[in-house]
Amino acid sequence: MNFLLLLATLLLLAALQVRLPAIPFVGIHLEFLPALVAYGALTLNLPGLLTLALATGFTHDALSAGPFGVTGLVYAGTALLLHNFREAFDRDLPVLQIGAGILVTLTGALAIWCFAGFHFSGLWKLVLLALQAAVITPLLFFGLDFTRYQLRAP
Amino acid sequence: MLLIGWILLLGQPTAVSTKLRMIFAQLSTPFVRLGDHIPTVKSRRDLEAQNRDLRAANTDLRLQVQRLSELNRETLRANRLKDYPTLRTLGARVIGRDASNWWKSLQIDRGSNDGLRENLAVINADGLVGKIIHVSRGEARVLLLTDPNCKASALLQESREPGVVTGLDSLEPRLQITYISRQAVARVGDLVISSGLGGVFPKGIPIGTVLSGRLNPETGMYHDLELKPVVDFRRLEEVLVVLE
Repeated sequence: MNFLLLLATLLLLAALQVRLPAIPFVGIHLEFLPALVAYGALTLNLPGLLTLALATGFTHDALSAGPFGVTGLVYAGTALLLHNFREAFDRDLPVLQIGAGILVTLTGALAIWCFAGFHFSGLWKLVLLALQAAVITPLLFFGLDFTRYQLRAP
Repeated sequence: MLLIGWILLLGQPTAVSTKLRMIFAQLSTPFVRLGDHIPTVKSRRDLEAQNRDLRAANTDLRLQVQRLSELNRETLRANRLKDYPTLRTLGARVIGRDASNWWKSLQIDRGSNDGLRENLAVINADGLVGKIIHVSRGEARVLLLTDPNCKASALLQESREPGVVTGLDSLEPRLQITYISRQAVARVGDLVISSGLGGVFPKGIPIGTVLSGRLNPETGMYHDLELKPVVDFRRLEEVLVVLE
């Protein structure tokens, strides 16, 4: 149930990510998928978080012009890293959630940036992506925790 | 090292990665299309359908005017070209943008079932949009001309000076035509059209107008001209795929 909920969330967030227009005056599009990977990394067991990270990255790459598979591997690696450290943190702390969301967003963005070609305007884009991840990640944690509580998912 | 090697290997398109991309694209496309099925007030839906039809008709007519204008120019130059090649196109709706902020591409609602394949040119009433890079059964991905990885052979319409158009990585959609000879005459506002070389983009499709120019800072041998695209890439809703 828990995992099915996250898979449904993945498909809905992917659809939102490719359909929402760019933020006016800023020019970047909102990215929801890294926040989902952060949620999985701090919530699921090892096989679950790896499956979710790979599925999220592959869905991202299937809906992008970039090379297929790169985002999945980077998301899985970052999720594994977060998983190893999560015993030391309280996952309900918004600061930790924000940090995890920013980490996944930036590692994913840097990997894609390598393939898309470096450019100075990319640095500005990285800052904006980190900022939007700081807003989206705690909201997604709250939304998914609330939904799971309502569904009484284990 | 193993991870880096794996990533670099995955960066190259293989049969497995192409198949996986198709599977994940087909899994997520129904959700991407969900937005089209959210019910709206009936009269508004009728108006939208009518609006869509009128836009499609407008697209065809404007395209014809542009092509006739280019044909007229060629005739005036006493070119031997007697019959401008008729483009066989297929209309498609834009159903999604790129999931990443690092690539500039669109998802359209036509795929291999409709006869689409990679490297087909995509245009609209205003001009050149891009080319198809991935195709699944019911959808395809179009790499936009504004992406720095998309290149098109082009020429200045007035002086017929050839060059290569590519996207500029900027917040505003901007293009650049490079390899313009130092002796070439180019004025602000000059139109740049596709040259037809390379076999992907048909000849004579408008690309952009000249905004500014400078000597190439690396070689000093060519001019680089910044272009304002004739296509409004932020408001693309319908496009035409050039089948021949």
